[in-house]
Amino acid sequence: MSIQEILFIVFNVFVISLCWALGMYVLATGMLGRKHKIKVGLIYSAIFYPIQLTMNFLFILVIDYQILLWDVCLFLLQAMLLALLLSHVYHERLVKTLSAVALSHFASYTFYAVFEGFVFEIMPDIKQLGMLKAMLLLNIFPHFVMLCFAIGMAFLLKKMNFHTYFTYLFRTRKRALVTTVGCLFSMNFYVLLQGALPQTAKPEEYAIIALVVIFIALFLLQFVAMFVAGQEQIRIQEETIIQQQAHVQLLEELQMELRTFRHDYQNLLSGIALQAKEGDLKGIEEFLQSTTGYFDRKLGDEIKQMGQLSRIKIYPVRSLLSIKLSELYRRGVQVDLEVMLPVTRLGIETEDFMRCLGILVDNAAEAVMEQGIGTLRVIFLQETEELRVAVTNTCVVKPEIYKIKTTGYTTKGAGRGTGLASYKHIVDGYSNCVTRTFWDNGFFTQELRIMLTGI
Amino acid sequence: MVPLYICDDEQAICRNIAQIAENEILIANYDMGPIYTANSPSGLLALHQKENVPAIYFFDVDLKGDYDGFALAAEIRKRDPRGYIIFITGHGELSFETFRYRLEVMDYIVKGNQEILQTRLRACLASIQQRLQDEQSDKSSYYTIKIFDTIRHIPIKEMLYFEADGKQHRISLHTDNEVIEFFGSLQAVENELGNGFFRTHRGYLVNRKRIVSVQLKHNIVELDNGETCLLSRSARKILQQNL
Repeated sequence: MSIQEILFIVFNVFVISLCWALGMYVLATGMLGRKHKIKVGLIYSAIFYPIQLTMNFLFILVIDYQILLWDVCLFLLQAMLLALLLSHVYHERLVKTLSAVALSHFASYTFYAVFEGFVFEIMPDIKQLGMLKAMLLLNIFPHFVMLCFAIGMAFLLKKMNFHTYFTYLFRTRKRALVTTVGCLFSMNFYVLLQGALPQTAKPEEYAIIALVVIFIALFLLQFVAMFVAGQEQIRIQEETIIQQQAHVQLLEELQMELRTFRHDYQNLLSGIALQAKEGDLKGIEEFLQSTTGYFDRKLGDEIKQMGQLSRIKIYPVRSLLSIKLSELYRRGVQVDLEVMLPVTRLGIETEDFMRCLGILVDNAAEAVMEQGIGTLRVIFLQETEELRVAVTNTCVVKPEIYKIKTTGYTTKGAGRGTGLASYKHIVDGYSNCVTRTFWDNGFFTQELRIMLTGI
Repeated sequence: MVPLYICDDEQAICRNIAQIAENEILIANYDMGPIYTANSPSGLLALHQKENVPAIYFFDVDLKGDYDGFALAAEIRKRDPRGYIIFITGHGELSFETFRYRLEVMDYIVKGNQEILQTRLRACLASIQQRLQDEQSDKSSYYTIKIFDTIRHIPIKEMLYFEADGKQHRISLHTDNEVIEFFGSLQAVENELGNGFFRTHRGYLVNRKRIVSVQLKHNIVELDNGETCLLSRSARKILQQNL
């Protein structure tokens, strides 16, 4: 091999590696629904290049080259490295990043193979054009087109919120396993195809089929997304109705109370009228002092609660709280809700937030009901940079706080603490969330702090 | 000397509170003063000086827009994490629990009745005096952790152990009454805390004073509240060499 040839290969591999690495990186981040960072892409390219270069030279030097085994190993290595990098940078689970990378590889390879086939198709005698032109047309051009397609597709996937469906594939362990295996298989699809049918298989033809499949899948996905959005709308409307029912019920209860209050008040007033007639100023003063408190107690609570609730601007959260509060009210649990400032952002996925809130409120409510006495307090506080949620319940005896995190322990007796384990699991998935659990003077509090900026 | 800060938008009430506090300090011979007064949150912040001792604050801001008083107290908390804040207000139905929870407000006195105001104020000062004395006598040191943009000082003697949660540099600190999460590296915490703490495991940093037994058989250390932490092989070796 001449020096010129070596330089040639080095340059060629450089361009190809760059296209591959960036293409796979951008596509995989698109699948994960994350922002791509140029720096990370370049880091991966820097890792990718020497590996690819070594492999290329080995390919030339080693005579009995087992293409099947080598390619599978190479692809796995490349995918694994990117998956590790992604899971480190974006704090995602490795199975998820690995699957995304494998799928990206499959899609990228499909694009590449289609365009390479296309070039061959229109210029069958390309090999006679000379090494430079052939390389340009057969290698660099299709790879460049592949990169463009990968970027376009990543953009599309992000627009379609692909990551929510993708995440759905990893909900259970079994599902995650199937998905990962499937993705890894698709990554090695072309290699295995060539291994299985060495004579008849033409990768370009399969690639065209695969390309069609990818586009159909994208269409289907769009369709599913629209369908899901429609379902979601129906669900939200149903929730609205439930929430409004709860609201109306609260109002009715309030009205009932007002009626009894009016009755009481009339009695009290007739009493004071008598005192006034007798000129008992001191008695009147005492009466006024005691009744203002009475008025506050009687009517204050619920009116206050309504006002607090209306400050939660995130609709599903308000709905959830409204339902929980009216339910607890009916069961005779005293609940204080304090929302001093409007809550407009959650900082994490609404569904995750609702699950966390539901778990915390349910646990506190159960603890209060178990004790038969005590109050429950929910505080929301959104400041400029963070949202705090604190759920407190009366708890006379100090619980063994450290046991609370482990599955199955609660302050309410054995076997019912599984909620807190999933709470912990959800929070662990976010790098902008921290929890605090504390006991102070007869009150047990679970606090969740969510950073709203810088995410 | 522990300084007092009083903030009220009405000059007369400001003077009234200052008078009550001054008398009480004289009578009970507390080591408190001088008393600063201001008529607006911004005026008070301008007066406020950073000092080593925690100060006492009486805020009687018209909290119609809750936020004025809240913002003031939040700013004070930032400057003086261990100060004593007491709210005096005419509104009964304010978000007191939010104040107490977020700003660790000590008391919340609803004004209107001079007598009640006086007794509650007196009780507050007495309780602060007690706490100051307790603090002086135990001379315990604190460890500072940063959670997002807030800072907490935690007495070292109350700390049990730190546990690294694996992913994302999430650490939970277990104390007598709390489990607090924050972000950081266990190695950094270990370096900062020095000898009083022992790294029993890759994921555990334990307060030496709180260890009651080492169970070599089960590879765990037991703490005085019944909790156990894992003990790694290398840490075990170090322990055995030291014994």
